[in-house]
Amino acid sequence: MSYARPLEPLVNSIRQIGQVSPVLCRKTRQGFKLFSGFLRLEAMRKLGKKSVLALTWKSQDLSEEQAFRMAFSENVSARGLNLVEQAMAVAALLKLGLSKKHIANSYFQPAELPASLGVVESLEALNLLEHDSKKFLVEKAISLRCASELARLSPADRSALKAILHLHPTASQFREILEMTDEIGRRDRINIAEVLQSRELKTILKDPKPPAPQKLERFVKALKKSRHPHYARLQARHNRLCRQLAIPAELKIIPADFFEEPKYQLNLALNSQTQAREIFQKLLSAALSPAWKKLFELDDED
Amino acid sequence: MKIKRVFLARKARKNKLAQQLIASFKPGQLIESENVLLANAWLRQFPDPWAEGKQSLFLADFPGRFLEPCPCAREYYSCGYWNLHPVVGCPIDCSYCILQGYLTAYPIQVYLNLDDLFKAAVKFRTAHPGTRLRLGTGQLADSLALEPELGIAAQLINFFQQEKNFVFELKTKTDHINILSGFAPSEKIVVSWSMNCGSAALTEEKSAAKIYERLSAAQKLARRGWLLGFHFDPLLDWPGQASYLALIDEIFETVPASQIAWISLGALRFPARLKPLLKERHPESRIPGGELFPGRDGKLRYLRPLREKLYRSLLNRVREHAPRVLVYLCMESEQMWQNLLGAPPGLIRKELALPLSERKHFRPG
Repeated sequence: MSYARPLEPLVNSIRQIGQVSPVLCRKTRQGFKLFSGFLRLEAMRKLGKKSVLALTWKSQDLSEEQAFRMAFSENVSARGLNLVEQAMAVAALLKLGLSKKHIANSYFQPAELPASLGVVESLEALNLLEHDSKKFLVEKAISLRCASELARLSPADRSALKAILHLHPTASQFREILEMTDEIGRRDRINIAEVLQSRELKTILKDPKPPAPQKLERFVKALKKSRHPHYARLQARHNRLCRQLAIPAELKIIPADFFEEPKYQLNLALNSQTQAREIFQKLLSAALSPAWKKLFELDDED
Repeated sequence: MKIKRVFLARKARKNKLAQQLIASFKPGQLIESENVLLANAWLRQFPDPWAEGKQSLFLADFPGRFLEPCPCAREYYSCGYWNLHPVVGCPIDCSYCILQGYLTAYPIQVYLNLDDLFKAAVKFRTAHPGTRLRLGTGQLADSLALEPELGIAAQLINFFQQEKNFVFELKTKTDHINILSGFAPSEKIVVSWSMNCGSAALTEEKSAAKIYERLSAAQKLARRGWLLGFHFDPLLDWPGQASYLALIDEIFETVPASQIAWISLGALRFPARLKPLLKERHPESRIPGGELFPGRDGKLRYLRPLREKLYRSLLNRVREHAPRVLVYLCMESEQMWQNLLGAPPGLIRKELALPLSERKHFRPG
């Protein structure tokens, strides 16, 4: 039940103080079957140890489910389970024939993990993700909601998103990108892979020159413009009109949030009385220009 | 719209309306549940408790106020509507329905103490004898979706057609109009339809009647002399202006303007918290792709220039057909009312609450 856990700290610990916790095994006809302590075993191997400390049970004394419960509890209390490990636990328990409701109530709830039927179903779906995606979820501590959205995508869409994963977005950046591409796709009736095939986005992603953070910034900016074209046009129009007004740099004309109303705030930075007079005079002449009138006629198409 | 199960409190079994309602259900379909939270918990065993809730009734008395002003946000101009809610919840599964994020109950709640509802209306009329009110049951429910099984709409019509101070509206997305066949039309009763373009209705209004079915039902009622209302709400950005204009033409070709009591226009808006649920429950919905931003009340809505353009073109088309049909806006600013509607907002609000014969300005035909 381990996924993307670094082995080195455990190797160092065992090298210094030896193996403190035994691994847990069931003795079956085929031999000893390890059910908890995979990382410890791996670390011991790496250190060249020939034997390990182990607790063993005869298979008739410990059912597979009991063994799994022990491993689950041990892992949850010792180090917690990341999202992929939780998904692996769900898959293993379903394989043992347990119902999703039982998994939620008897495993996740006592372990103080989110424990609704919906959560168990979302976790089950994560098992379908490819290794790169799973690794990304764990490394960036992506939320279950965002991970579920990723799992709902087609393999082709997820494959297209790999180009973004290579830019190392943060969890919130990735959530934002996923949300925007999904919404553009819904709007234009295309899939995410097709969204990412747009000329502008493709050019940014294929450009070998800029470093990843810069590329990511450009990509997000272009995606936002594509997601909200009218808003982008309103912003561009506002900036153009402000330039036409030729008002001093000390004076900023700030529109209402999302241009919800034709109302503006003036933000003024003053250093002297003379400067104030000059700015107000320029503002007065700007207020007589056609561009000033246009500011109050909100339209993204002119 | 099949109801699979009924939750009811033990006390509710003695209620006459409850007994009528559960008579057609098998014992296995009746689940004792003292409160709606227990019903919610029961429904959570399903992957989509909302969908199951839409096929479940919860019968109980309503301890709160039956008659309340429509909660138009303070930031917007209210049309003066009042809500009556004998039923809360709806079997129709519209992707954009705010009830998904707004209500705390999965099942459709049917309140059994209807006497209290009528008392509330009488009390209001007695306390405010000079006030005229426009009210309806279609805000937190579909007024006709569960009729005639519930039998509530008939009681309401019986009551409100005798009441002088009220104009009562039954608002629906269905064609369940048989219930009205036993009544003579009254100018105090308006039957109205939420309308959308056919493509939008198919994608976003699952299990509602198709637009031609709604129009056909409206036509039948118009022929019998009933007054009608049409609500272009929520207007969506993706069907395109031309589709909405064609729908307006179709309405005026189908029903006489003289029988249209009102038309409302309201662009899509919903609380931001609804978006993840909308995406999850309605993966085919195009709504999340809209250019939606928080408005003055925090709800997501289209950019103002987009809304304004859509309203203006629809309004012009309505005026081409019938200049005196009363058109109003839903959840928009007073400034928007003034800019677009061409009459003082206060006058529009006043006339909305009057029967057609008492109106001075907006009397179509």
